[in-house]
Amino acid sequence: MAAPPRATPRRRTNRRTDSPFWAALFVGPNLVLFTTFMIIPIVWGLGLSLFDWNLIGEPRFVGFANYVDILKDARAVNSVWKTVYLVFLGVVPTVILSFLIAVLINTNFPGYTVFRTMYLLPIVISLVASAVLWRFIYDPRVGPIAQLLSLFGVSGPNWLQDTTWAMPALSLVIVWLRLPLGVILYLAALQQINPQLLEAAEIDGAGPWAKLRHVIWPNVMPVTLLILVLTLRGIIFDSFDIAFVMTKGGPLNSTDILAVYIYDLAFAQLRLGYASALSTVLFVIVTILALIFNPPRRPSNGDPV
Amino acid sequence: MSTSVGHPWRRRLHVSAVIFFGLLMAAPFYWMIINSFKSSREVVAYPPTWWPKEWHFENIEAALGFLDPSAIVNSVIFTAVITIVQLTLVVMTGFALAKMRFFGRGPLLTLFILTMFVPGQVALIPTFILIRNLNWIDTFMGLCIPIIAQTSFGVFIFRQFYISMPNEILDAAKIDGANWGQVFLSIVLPLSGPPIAAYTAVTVLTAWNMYAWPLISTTEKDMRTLPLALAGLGQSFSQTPPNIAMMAVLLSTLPIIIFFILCQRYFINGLGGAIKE
Repeated sequence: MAAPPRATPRRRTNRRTDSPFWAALFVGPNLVLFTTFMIIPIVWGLGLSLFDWNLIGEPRFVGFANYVDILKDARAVNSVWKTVYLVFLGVVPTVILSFLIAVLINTNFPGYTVFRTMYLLPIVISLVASAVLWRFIYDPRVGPIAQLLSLFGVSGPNWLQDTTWAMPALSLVIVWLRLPLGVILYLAALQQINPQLLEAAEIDGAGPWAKLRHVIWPNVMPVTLLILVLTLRGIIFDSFDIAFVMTKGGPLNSTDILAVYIYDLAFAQLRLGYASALSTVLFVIVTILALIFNPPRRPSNGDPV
Repeated sequence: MSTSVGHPWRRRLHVSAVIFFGLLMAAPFYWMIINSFKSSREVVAYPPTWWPKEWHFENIEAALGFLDPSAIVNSVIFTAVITIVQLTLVVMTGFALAKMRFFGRGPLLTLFILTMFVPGQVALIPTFILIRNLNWIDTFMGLCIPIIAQTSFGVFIFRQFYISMPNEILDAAKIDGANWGQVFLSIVLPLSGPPIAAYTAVTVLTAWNMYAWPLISTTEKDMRTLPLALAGLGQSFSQTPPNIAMMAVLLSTLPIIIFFILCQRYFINGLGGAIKE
């Protein structure tokens, strides 16, 4: 796009380009920060994955050796599967439960807002605070879960110390934390469904289940895709805090997700190149999962009307 | 709007279900609150009690001692700086990308959108090296600037908002000879209340709760933020009694719970509004 000749002294409203001064003023500061602390680190990270470096000596170029090493590293392979497992345990219940809750609480009665607040409350608690809280809830002796189970004569496992149960226990915390966002988005979508559609279905003799299955669910599908991607992103981004505080990847690496292993490699073992290669693998996994859940749509970046 | 029209008993069943599951979602908060007021003996007693025998308000003081005041001050500064600076940047960039016509606008927008899906870990290690080379470890610059720079999501949100703002409003002012700065301050900003409120609410929440970056970019105790102070309490209940740990969690979450209850409308509108396109 070439700049037009500066012909008219009086600026007209449908000119092709604006004075670069204002664009630079509005975009410039952000662009400088964004480039320095976002774009450069991302590119640098991809580059660093081709080097061997311990932060002190000279970086040594090793080509794709780090990526080859990942395949031979049992802990890396394990952590890839643990990450996928956690995503699965987190995403599926979050989507289903937030849909059901939204349908359930899309109503009104005296005192309703108090109860709606209860459903949304987990959105405020930090991952670290909830990790501390849930460690206590999962306590095998004085925790409420153990206590409730014992009423039925069941003696539950030591959730966070059990290689089978530690990961589901973490995912329950993540689902609890992630439900409010899904509920809010589904509520907004439900309120946009044309009530006439539901009336028409009722006239045709549809029961509650048929309405849910054939009218409500298809109508909120775009939101379901959005929630899938947001939850996926959220779990990949948040899981570090939860796993690092609650289990540190244990017991016996059963919750050793990629984010925890990468942290250990980069900041405890100082194997920065190898850690960067694993970060790149994580990036590829997120991208693939996001594409599976939600094929890209072109953002509407045409000219403003 | 209700889905349970019909028999009164169905209505009653529906309301009961709403209440029951609501209480279930809030139950962990109940457990946190009652245990934070128990005595050190009662909190580890078997079987656990569902209501404190006595309310020990002195736990508040003990928990504040564990959290240490510097962590609270740091968290307030960290959250305020990030929210104010980042909001300013994303509102201006979002507006420029929606309404100004300049060279490179399209590619710039694509750049912001593409980086939205890059996981933090990819940039984390190089950002740490960068901050270390700048000698910004254990400084507020190092703590805040890399987080402020995460503007892609906000730029996208505000760009979408301004795209739907009618051009006529802006043109009228421009014909009167106002420049972009004047148009932005006198016309655009006063119309931007709702998205600014929503973005502020979400950013305050995110910054207040952030853990990984403060963990990596600080080493000294005086530079810790609240989540770092809290994380120490979670490792072992043998070092910190659970009642004090629960009180610390409660105290660190309370400001944000109050903030949420007061601004609930903005959260819901802001987050729900993201899909109305």
